[in-house]
Amino acid sequence: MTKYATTLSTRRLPGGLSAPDGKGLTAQVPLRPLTPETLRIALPTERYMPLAAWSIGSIIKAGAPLFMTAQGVIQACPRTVQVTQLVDGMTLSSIPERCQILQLTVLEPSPPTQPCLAPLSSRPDPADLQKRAAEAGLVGLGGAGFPAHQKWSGELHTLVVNGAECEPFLTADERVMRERAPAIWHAIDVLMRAYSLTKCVIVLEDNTPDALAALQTTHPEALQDRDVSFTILESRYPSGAERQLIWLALGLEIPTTARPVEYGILVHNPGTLAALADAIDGYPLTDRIVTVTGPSIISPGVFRAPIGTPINALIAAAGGLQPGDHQVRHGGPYMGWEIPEEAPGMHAMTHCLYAAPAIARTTSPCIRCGLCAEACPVQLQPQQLFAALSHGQLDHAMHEGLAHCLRCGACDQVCPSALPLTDQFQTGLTRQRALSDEAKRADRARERFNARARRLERQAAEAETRRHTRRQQSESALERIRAARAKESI
Amino acid sequence: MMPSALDVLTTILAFTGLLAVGGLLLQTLSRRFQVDGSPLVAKIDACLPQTQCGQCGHPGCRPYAEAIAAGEAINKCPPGGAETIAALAELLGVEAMPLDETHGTTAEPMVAVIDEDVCIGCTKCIAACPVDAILGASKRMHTVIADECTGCDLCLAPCPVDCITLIPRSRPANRISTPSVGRLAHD
Repeated sequence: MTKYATTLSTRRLPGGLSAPDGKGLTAQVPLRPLTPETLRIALPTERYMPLAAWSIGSIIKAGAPLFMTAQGVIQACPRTVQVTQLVDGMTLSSIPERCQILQLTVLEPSPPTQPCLAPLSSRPDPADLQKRAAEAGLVGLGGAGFPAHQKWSGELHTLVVNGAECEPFLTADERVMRERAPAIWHAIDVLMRAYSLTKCVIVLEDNTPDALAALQTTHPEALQDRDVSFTILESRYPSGAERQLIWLALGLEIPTTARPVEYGILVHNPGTLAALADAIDGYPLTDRIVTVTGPSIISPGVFRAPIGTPINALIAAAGGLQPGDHQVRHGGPYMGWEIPEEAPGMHAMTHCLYAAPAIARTTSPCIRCGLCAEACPVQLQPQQLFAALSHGQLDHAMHEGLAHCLRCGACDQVCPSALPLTDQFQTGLTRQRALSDEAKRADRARERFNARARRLERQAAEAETRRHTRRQQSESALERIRAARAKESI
Repeated sequence: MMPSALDVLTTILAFTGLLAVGGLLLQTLSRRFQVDGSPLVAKIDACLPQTQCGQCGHPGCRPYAEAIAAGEAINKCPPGGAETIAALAELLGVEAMPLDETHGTTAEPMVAVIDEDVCIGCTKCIAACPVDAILGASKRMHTVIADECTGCDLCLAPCPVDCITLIPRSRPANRISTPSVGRLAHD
């Protein structure tokens, strides 16, 4: 039956956690489509270009373009809707930013039924594929949301399918692999041919045998002459982090400062590949699979929901929250972050909502036990970083390697003093980014100020030269007149 | 044995030659690697926020840096606020002091926006902008290059029709007003 080589990775992640996985809550629950009555789509905080009429009351068709982001990715309207209003709000990101939220009333519950874009041939050339990914709104569905078309450049040789969903409770990627295996294969085929990739490695954890079986039973004829293989990892958090995954599967270490594509390695989440297959068929990204889970959810489930589905609607669809105080997190229990009640609807990167009882953390001082250093998958010294950041020594923390921190939260899980290590690191990194942005702005302003000063100086000098020449000309003219008069009077 | 006169002469000549060569070398090197302006001024300038707003009483950040190098107080920069003062105090080895609020108070970073319907195209703001962040021509609409604007507010006063306002830089919806992409295959 197995046509592809299936190997167990012999490499082992330094640190990390082998936590109880909690995936059983949703792994076998049937997938349910969900269409809410309203959609709340957060508009980008950066520059963007609206592509539809947003006046109140106007109707936008399912699949019609809504706006284009600064990266050139076009977000399609997930359903046929009527614009209700445009309100101010905060984004769903871990550091919320002010944004505008487009509120839409859903008129038709079904996603686009006809292709919205002209279907591509089964052998599209790279330029068409890149254009299609941008116009179909394809972003990395694993959580980072990096525009897919921007990854497809340079000399690529290996495609890595990141099916290692290592965080506990998460089942969205596994579900995509089970439900959409043929689409994933189609996208792999298209990408391998379009970019002449010589190798494809599908990486899974050892706790997702159903996904492996689904992919193995649907392998297409077209890929049989290709170097396609499966690599199975020991399930250990955070082995699915991009650089960790590449090291575990291929034995290559990608530096923090570089992206894997710079080394010819293309990493895609299975959800992104399934969406790419849809895009090739002419359907833009309108829906995604999202897991709603956690100890506080009454009946945890897996849903196919349109982008913009309100968080409350997702939780209500999963039976709501247990009575009592709970916190809802966007993402999983480790890498996720708490979101407020008034959050906008889910975006393309919302793979999981996790709700757990709100327990007040009682922190105590660091006892220097070193457990965090053992748990750190990038071998940092979290206790040192924490100490430095607590004393406002951002420079020192950066020197100690803060930039390499994955914010995976493994250190938080093992800390006996319950210190908010990852929060502190996230704050530090955000501050560092703000400082370097400010420094860049200041450098540009200094350059522009100096350029202007030089220009004004040059203009003043030129004006002076002109005046000087004119004076000389008039003096020589006077001289000539005087000479002529003198001649006459003789 | 006493050194001969010739020996003494050779020694003197040798040393003179050596000194001459060394002197010439030093002089060429010092000319070759001459630093423009005072390195201290450049270091002070690097601490300043480069808003070029002139609230300190100098026509820009570099002139203020020169004044600080000459002994002026370090607490006259409202856009930089406490952080800039702390950085300057550290650099110069002096005591940090609170901001002198006669020069203004620290506010959140702003950016200028021209109401393009009201603008008459007088170019006065273009001349006033210290970082050339306003685009336009005589009797043509002007606009601010938001990414380059330092929010110094120097363009506000010269505007004869008061069509320039400052908004917080973090405000969203900095959007392009006219869609310029072609329609897609939708309709």
